[in-house]
Amino acid sequence: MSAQVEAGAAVRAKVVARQGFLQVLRDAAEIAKKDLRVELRSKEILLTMGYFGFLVVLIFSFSFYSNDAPISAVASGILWVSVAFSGTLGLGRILEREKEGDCIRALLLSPVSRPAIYLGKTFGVLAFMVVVELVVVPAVDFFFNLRLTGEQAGLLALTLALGTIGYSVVGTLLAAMLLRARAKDVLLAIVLYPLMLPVLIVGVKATAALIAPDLPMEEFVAWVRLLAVFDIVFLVASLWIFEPLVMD
Amino acid sequence: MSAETLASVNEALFDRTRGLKTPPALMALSVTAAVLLAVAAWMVFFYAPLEKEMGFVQKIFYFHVPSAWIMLLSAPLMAFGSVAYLIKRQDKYDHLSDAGVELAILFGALVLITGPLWGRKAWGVYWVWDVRLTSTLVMVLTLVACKIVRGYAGPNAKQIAAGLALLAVLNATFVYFSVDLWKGTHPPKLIQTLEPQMKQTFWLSVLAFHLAWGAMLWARLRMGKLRSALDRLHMQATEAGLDD
Amino acid sequence: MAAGGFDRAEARNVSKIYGRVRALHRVSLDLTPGRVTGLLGPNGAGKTTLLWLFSTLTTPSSGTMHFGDLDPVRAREARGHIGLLSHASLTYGDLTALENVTFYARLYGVEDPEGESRRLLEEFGLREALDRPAKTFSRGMTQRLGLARALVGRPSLVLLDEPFTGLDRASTRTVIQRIHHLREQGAMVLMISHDMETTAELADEIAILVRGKLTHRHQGRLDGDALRARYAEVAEGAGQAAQEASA
Repeated sequence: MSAQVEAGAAVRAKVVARQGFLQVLRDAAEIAKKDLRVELRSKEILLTMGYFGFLVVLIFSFSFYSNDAPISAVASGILWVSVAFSGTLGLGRILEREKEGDCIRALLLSPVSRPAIYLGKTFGVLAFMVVVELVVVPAVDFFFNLRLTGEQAGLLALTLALGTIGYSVVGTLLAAMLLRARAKDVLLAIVLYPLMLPVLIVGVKATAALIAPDLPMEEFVAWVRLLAVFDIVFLVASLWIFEPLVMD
Repeated sequence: MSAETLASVNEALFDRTRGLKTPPALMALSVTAAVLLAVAAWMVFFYAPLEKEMGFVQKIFYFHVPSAWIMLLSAPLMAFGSVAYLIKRQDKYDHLSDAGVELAILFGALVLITGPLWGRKAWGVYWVWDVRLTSTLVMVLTLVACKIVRGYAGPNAKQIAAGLALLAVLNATFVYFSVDLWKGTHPPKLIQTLEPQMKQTFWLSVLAFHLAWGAMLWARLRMGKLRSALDRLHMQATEAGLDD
Repeated sequence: MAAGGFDRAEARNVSKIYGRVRALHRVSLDLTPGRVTGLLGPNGAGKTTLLWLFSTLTTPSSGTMHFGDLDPVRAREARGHIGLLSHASLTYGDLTALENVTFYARLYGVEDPEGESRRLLEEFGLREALDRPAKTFSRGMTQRLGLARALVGRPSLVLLDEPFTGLDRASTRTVIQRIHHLREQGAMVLMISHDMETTAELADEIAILVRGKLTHRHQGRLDGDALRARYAEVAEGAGQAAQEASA
């Protein structure tokens, strides 16, 4: 009996070795790197996401236009909605890629731990979102004539970064969950947007505070802190929820 | 098929039919809840006096507040069911989570219908982005999505639904804090300020709602149990080769 | 065998039910190191389902899967020592053959991932195609790429679902050589194939599944003709019986 336990332990020892914190991060980086490399070859997701983001900003900007001038009060809302919409487009695709050729099975079969797979995909989504934001933010700035100062741009980057982390964390989990569902694109939108409401509410409010004429710093800090809390809470929850999602 | 497996299927069938009768306690609970709901409704309209400021609209309060409380009661229930299901993978926890989700949607919807009616009178508009209204809305929206996904998600539907229910609860909590920071228009706690007849009506209504909730939860859990028993039976039958 | 691997894989009385369809019914099959088990059966007999169960990606509805001395509930921990060649390529079309295999080599913690991947791909005759995107590959090349991918982690248990599909004669020889080699190294091999000749050449043991049941098991080798006769007797006989029964 004890010999059996020992032999079993030998198998476990190797598996456990791939679950250390650093190992998880290394594996996650490996997976994210692979996603970026695939994307640099095809550029399909970034092109569609970025172009779509630009179009959304454009459509909104002539919807909110009066007396030959854009209504800049709605700029922060439009910024976040554009990011959220184009994000959904990319989320579905980046996870879908693992399904072509059934690669998700190969990933699940590899000794890599589940959290590493989840984090790897999240890093990839995050990178894509950043590229989209590099399109959307200048577009909003251009159409709504915001003329952001250096300080404002820095604070906006911070806010967007925190909001995007929250978005990617939850979005990746949902997209992975729905990978094998029918009509997954529609379902993804249905579940993602209600769950994203807090990030959108807080992000919009923080952005509105920071493009206001005299920056209400105290209010802004409170919003940003909330975003950070959201990120942490949902990252922990998502890591935990992703783990038991077994392919069957 | 062996005589032995046939006997076990038979026995299972026999056991199930006995389980099909509604337990008397559930029956009694349902009847009591129904009667109390009727009495509470009567008291709301004919016993409790008209409130000076809000007038007739104030009567919404007797339905709105108990619904909100019950929704809050359903949330930890489904959170617990979801966590337990994700860990243990036993169907009974899935039923608990699902029942919690459905009850939270039902009573959350009541909150969302009655809230704006009150708001129209109190603030002149139907919808304000108030803390509690917003967090209720977000939770109900997420839970409805959760029910939809459960229907279409395929083989992992139960795990997915459990995960989503858990996220929904976390999310509603988060919304509560975030909108609180933003602004708060919701009326403060009114219960202490009520006249005695109003108080009596209110507490009876609360009791009636809770009993109704208990009866629904029980019935829903029982339905889940029977359904998995049926599935098990089907599986046994398939195992025994009855599908051939 | 890879360090930390296992030397036993066994399905004990496993059934698998999808919804209300029975895919496998109380199947027991044990694999031992240094043996190739050929799994035969008509379409829809449950061969692939059994293969998935051995891959740990699917769990049985009842019965248990044993890998080494692992507790069956922790069977998933054996996954790193299992190599799988499935119908799907399990590779990324936009990556080159070398990038694909190297990616998995890194995930399996292989020392010198790129060198090992290059060596394997060259062994499977893909030297000229190392830097071509996998999506430009023919069926046979994809199959060989998939095989290199499956073997890069030096698995103790190798699962092959129709490994010879789309292969020309020369490639078939290479793959057969490789499977012989795996056997010599002491790997457990479970192979699904419709090809009687190659199965006869490789299999040390034959298992035939008919409609979810393991109806026949033969220990020891059979030549092509004997195998064909045996298969006709077991599988087609059962099919005939069923047809008569339903008529």
